[in-house]
Amino acid sequence: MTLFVPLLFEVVAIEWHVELGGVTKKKKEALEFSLENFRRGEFQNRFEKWFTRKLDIRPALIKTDNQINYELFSQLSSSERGKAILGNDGHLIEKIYIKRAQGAFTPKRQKLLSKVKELKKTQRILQQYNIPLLILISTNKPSFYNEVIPNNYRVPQRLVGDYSPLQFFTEQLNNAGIPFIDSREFLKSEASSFNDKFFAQTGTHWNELGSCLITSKLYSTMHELLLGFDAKLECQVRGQRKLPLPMDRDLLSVTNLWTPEKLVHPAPLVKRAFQEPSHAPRPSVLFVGTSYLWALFYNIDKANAFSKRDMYYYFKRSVPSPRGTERPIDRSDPIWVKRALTHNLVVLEVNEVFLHRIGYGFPKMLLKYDKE
Amino acid sequence: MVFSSFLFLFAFLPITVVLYFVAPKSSRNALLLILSYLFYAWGAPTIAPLLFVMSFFDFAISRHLGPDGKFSVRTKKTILVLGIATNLSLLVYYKYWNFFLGELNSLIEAYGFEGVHWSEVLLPIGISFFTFQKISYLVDVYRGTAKRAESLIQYALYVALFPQLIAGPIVRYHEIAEQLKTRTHTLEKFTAGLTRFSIGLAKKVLIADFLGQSVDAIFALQSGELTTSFAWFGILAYTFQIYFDFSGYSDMAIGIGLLFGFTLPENFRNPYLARSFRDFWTRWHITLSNWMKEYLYIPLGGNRGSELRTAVNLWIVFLLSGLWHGASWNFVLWGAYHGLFLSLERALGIEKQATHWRLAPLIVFPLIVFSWVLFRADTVEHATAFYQHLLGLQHVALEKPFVWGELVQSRTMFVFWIAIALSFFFVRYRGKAIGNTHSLVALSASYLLLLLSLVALAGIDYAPFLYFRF
Repeated sequence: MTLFVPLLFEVVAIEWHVELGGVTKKKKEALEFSLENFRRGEFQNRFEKWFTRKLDIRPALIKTDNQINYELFSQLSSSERGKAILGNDGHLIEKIYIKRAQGAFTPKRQKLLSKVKELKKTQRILQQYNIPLLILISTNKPSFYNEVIPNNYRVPQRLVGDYSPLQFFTEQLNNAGIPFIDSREFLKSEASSFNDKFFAQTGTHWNELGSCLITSKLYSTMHELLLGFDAKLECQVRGQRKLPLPMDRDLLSVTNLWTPEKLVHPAPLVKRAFQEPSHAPRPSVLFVGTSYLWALFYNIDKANAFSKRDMYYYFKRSVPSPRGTERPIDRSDPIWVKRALTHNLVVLEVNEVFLHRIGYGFPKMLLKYDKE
Repeated sequence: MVFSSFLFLFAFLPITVVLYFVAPKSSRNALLLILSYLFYAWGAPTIAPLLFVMSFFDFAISRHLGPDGKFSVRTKKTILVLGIATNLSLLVYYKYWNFFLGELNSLIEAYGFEGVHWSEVLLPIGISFFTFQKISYLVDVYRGTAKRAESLIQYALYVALFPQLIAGPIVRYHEIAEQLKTRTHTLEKFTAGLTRFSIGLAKKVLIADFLGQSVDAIFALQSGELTTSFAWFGILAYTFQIYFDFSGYSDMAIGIGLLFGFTLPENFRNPYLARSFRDFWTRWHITLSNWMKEYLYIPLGGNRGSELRTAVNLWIVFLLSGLWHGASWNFVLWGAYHGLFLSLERALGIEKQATHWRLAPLIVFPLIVFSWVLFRADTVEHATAFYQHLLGLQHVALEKPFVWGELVQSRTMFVFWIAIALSFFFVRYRGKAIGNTHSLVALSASYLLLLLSLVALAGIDYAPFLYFRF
């Protein structure tokens, strides 16, 4: 009888639709029958997809399966293709960081050296326009809190050496005179002042507290780079949020559980004390980087310390602020470099496990533009 | 269309069951035949017409094969050989043509010449199974073991009956001839069918598919990435994956057969408890063993001749069994491996004695596990490298470490231990549960298994049956 239930629901038009998080909606292919597309098997493929969609039972079953996995096996999904795992202490961790955080897949020294050389050239070009360059190296949850990595995801120590790309890279940046913020080092120095963690259990990126601290460090570094910029940000913890901010729950949406609230833990409630810049005009800043910047913008946009804060997201999408429309970036179009040169500061952000990707093609475009 | 797809579970099967019982008894075979062809055409649209034509051919020539036919014994034998040759030639063409031409080209190119160009022949699903069934019909009619089918519909249904069309069990004609004419439908059979189907689906979805994810990931590792521990887990997991996948499919086929009143033959009997290789082949893919014995081994002479002749017959059967499974040298080697141990057992005189050795599975099981490397590997070279990893003879590169968690999830490990328990320890209880399908425990358990299977089907990615490729 169970096998008849979905068809019955369809016939009597009972709605039982369940949404899944993190699912890209695929374009629905037209269901047209012809002998030719039946012979090729195309009709059958499309029919099966249409049928599964029409039944609309799969999302509910997936959530049930995920719930079973979570309750009985402390894992998030039956499929090996899931993007996140459940780590220790209830932390959700994106798989892409786990082995890298333990020293696997490290970019070679030569690669990092060539990147630093490219950054030095970038710095020199920007200096011609009186624009300082700042490198922001984000840290990630398993890199900073190694203890959240579960045992079955530990890389045997004998398989990774002592080489630290982060240490090597920062040494080279120092030697080249390129200013940078090593967020891992900075947050380590702040850790003793706070009882709370800087990454939320349910988030990929630094949480409200971590991002506030990094923003304050950004301001203090900008003070050294931009004369007259004296904005300050103080971050204090004043209790706990029962429900973390949405930006600290980004991984929760892809767990697709019936009871995702089981994964939610209280988060530090941050009280920000802004000191706005005393001098006009306020600087405009261009950030080129990754999703770690969104959490910083949460603080930056509240502070109103910049006249403009634009972003080239992976140098693929332009996200201007406070005004303007999001647009895709055509990397062959020099307009994106010209627009970059209208800012007072360029910040290139990259995660510490992807140092070799710093700039995401922006320095190359800038160098090409300069040559022409 | 696979048994574990939503389309089959929520549309084809329930609708077929309803239509079958609503239809007049005289039309049920025809209805099942049409739906079986729809089922087959869904996956192999270009071959379905050929299947019908060949069924018509077999039926037509079978008129002249039986003891009451008008032709002489010699003529009948010629017709039989023609029928078998025609069926086998189609099997050879569709299944082995690419292989033969590939090997021929390798040889030609080794001498510096240009190889032959040809369009790849696509393998129709289930061809190895239904070809053997068709041969079984012709031989059974010729021998008089069974009477010729009363109608084309009856015969065509024997070949195309959808529960066993794609991956068996291989039903010898004389096993089902009477059921094609008349069969009973009882509530007991129906509930037994549902129970058996649920158990089969659970074996496939809850055990085989989970293990399969890890097996695929481990066997896809490059040589420098595969550690000895991964290799051992991979092959052990495959050992249970193939058993639960294939036996699960057989359970589903048998269960569906029962829904329509058919009692199909059993295909598995706790194979990993085998006490010898001979014993293994009375427990694993039983219907293939029976077919090979009845239509190949015994006609070759079986064990009636000298020891040498018997050994030769065994080797022929197992080399062909290997080749039946797939058109590549690793399958031939797999068959040869089994043939070797069967011959050794016979030569040492232990094949019958071993049945009394309770600890014999401790020897036989590892040897069977070792043989599965040949079965699972893509090529002989792949198998060789894998064996080296099992023995710790291969160097592992350090640049791309894999961790257990990304190859074997917690649930997979749990399923692995369940598979071991079901394969070795809870055999008696399992038998009881299947036997007594009216018990509340059995019915409740099978319903729960069905629900869990439906849930897991959605969570895990699409996973076709392993034996489909044969």
